[in-house]
Amino acid sequence: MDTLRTTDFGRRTLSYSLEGLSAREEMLFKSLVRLLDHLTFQKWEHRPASADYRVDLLVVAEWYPPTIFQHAHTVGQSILSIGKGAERDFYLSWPVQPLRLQAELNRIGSFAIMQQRLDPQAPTVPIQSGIDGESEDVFRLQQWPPSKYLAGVGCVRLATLLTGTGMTIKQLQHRSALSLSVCRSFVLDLRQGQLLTITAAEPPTRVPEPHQLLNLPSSAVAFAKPGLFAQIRAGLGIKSSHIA
Amino acid sequence: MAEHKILFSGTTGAGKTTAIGKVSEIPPMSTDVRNTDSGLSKEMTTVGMDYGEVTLDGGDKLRLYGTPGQKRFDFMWKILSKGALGLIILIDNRQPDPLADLDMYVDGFAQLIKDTACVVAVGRMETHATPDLEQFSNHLAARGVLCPVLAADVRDGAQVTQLLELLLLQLEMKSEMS
Repeated sequence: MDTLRTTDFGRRTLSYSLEGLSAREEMLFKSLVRLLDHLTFQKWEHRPASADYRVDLLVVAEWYPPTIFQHAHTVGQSILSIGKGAERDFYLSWPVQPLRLQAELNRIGSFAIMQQRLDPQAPTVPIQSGIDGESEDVFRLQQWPPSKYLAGVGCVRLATLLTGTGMTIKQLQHRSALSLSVCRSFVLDLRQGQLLTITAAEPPTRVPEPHQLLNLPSSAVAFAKPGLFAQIRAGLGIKSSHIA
Repeated sequence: MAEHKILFSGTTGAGKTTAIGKVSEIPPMSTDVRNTDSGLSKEMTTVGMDYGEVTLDGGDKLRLYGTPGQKRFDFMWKILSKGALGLIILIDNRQPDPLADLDMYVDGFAQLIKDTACVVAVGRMETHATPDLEQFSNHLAARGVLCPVLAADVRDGAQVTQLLELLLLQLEMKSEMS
């Protein structure tokens, strides 16, 4: 994308266009992005919608037809839907909450950079390691993340899943019922914040060492009967696909 | 009929009784008495424990216990911890030293937290913003405890349910590992 470049301070500049929003909504959105400029990982610049070039992010009203998502996927463009009940990978509801917008812009920005393989701060682990769905790297939180990482839909749930012994991106997607791209960008954000430990996955057929058997918890959890947690969820009125 | 229990502990006045009342299918049974502690700005306080329950499929019971908040009742914490599935710690950010309060419960329930799961919910952050959640998180990390730390208003049943859901998520993972 022709607009992707590095600012003086090492932040990437990404571009976005707005489509299908009213003039008032456009003005509001653009002013919020400007307000958040010092808080987002990337610098976001508005570009008028045009067929001549491709922006990194297309912000659309929720009523936009699904075909636009297919097209965007093909050309590697992210789409942020805005509406009352939009439920896509990246979406916000009106009224747009600044903290939510900040989180979404950070997730989308990380995702765009990952796709471009242009992250200048690629840390000790290569950028492609562990952030595609095929990776077998196991991610675990070092500590509970600051609020700015948790504002997106499902992020508290994702973070909770990463408090255990660790998960691959695929496991995270399976357990959270969120999309692969959401899981991937969440992990990428945490990794950029140096909040994750990353290890290679162990072979699935590995036999536990004797000391591990001795260290098994002797708590009620260890003896929980199959289906107990689903029963408790049902008793509390929590749907299995509940997004925290 | 099997019985399972989850504990709510935390600072006096943080809302353990309220939280249990939001999810229990019976009116919570409390052992509240008139407060004679001039340091507490509440009329009644729990000296024994709170109790609520939820009936599960097949007749099993999920029992919800609220422990007394005061350190002098810590003998009750150990009794209630036996066989518990997990712990939700409620912190009242209006208190003079909420991080020290958290330490007290992390110490008092150390074995339960190690063996099962824990969620920390900080209340009254809208009026008492410090310590913020990051300070709680850093404090727990320094003590080697990794668990969800959220702001919560337990007067909202949906938020109490969310705390329980996060506890269950952790328990599922632990259960699969054991």
